[in-house]
Amino acid sequence: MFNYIIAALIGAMSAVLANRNIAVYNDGFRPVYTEYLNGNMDRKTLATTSFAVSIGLVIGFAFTNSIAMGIVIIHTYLLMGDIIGTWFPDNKKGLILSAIVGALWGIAVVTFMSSIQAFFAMFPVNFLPQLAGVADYVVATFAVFPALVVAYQNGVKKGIITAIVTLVGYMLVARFGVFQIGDFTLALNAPGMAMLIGTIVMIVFAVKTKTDAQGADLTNIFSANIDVIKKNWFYFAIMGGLLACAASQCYLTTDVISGPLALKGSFAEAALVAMVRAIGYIPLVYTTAIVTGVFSPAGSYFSIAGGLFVAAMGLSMPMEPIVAFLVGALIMGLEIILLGTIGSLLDKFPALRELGDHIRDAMSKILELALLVGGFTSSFAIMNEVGLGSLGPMAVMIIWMLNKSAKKPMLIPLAVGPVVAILLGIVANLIKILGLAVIV
Amino acid sequence: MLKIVVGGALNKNENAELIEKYGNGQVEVKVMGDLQAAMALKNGQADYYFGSCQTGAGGALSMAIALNGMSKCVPVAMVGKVLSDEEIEQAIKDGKTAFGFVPEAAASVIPVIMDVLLK
Repeated sequence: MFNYIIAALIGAMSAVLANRNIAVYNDGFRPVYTEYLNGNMDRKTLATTSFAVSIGLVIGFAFTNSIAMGIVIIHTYLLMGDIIGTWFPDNKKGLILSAIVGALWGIAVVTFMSSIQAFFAMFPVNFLPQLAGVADYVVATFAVFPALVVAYQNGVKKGIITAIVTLVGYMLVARFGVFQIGDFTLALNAPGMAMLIGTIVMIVFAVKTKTDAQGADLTNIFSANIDVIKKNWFYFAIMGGLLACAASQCYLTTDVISGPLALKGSFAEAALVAMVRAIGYIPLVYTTAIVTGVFSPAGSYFSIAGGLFVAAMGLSMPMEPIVAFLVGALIMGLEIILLGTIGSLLDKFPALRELGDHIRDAMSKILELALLVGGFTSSFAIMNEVGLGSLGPMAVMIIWMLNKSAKKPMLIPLAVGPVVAILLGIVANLIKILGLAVIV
Repeated sequence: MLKIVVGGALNKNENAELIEKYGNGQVEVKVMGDLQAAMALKNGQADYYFGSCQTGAGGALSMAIALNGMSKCVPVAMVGKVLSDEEIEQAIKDGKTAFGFVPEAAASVIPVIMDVLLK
């Protein structure tokens, strides 16, 4: 019941923020608002643009990943919030309608996600446990991504140094990271700590990077926009609280790495990943916000990382969601207060802005490969249920290759593993029902 | 000589290589941060802007749209929607100078765009 309420509130808030022209989630849609606010674009065009840039993502990215992971990815709520909010006129009636339709969308998402689980569970071959295996290698390899970021920004040599530090860090923490304090055993989490060590090395290299890119004094030019965002701090604080609360209860995730980690109960690692990812999004989210005066309903995701940190503390119910809400609201408030300061920092140090690009790039590259490998192994496991194991990897291989060579790719690379695994789950059931299964 | 900047968020170097390859020696390609690239387009230091991101319309184009206006920008390949060769040609004729696309479509849309630009 609680999850329906939270989802309805998130859906409603997100639609209202878009309706009042305060915040939209799609980073590419935010700049379009400049045209609208300047009067160069009417509401109808704004609404159609919003639909055009977001609907493909809702279906092709948000839903496929949510189903494969078994946890709702944040895009499912917030991209649709953009569409709903812009679709209604920005007057009182539009505001109320946005809130209602947004809330209904939130409820619909939760209903869909829980019924799809129940639906698959009715099948003769329940493949959901094997399907979750798609994310296995994401969980196993996420710790190495800072090395890739360093390689992008500072060359392969420094990338290798970072990789070695990360791997040695992993071994040392895994071997010596268990402390006995009286009756209490404290075991440091090896992959999480390894990623943290790698991240520190990454930041050190980034700070030392000399770049000839010229800065731009955006923050001063657009200081009026920052004031507009600050004026609405209260809405953002509530939104931050809701998102953090939802993340702490595994009702939503920001990405395909921290989602599976949180589902496995590894909240500390999930929080770390979400935090580094949030750092990666600062330049894109803050810069688009500063030049447009329209922020993101999720800020730069720090409140969600905060919610996961709260979950890692292992508080009892109902304290946990309450504390998560407060922490999330506080963090989002801080983001708003620091928006201008961080903006000037980015203006002065273009290398930090580049670091953000490289973090996003590295994360998506690692995800792509990890989900592909996970797609191979989980497809094998699913088809093995009907004695036809190799059919799984064969299907993944051919679809990956065909998709790659198609002039118009059908699937984003990230989605190939999860989508094929879901389809194979259905195929496996057909095989079973038709009596074609090979008895092992 | 066409001056082209590569901004956006993902696969900048890969995109630059493709542009170079299909530019037949008639282009000067520079990889930049998305903000710098968008500024270069705005103040005339570059003729065209290319960018990619996971969605084809988010980080790929956001800074270009913010500084140059939507009228200069076109997402040629988004998740679930890739423009046809004719639509791409029309967009360029309509005065679009910034192109956004998903990385997996780069190999198919860059040759088409370069073809039209070099005509």
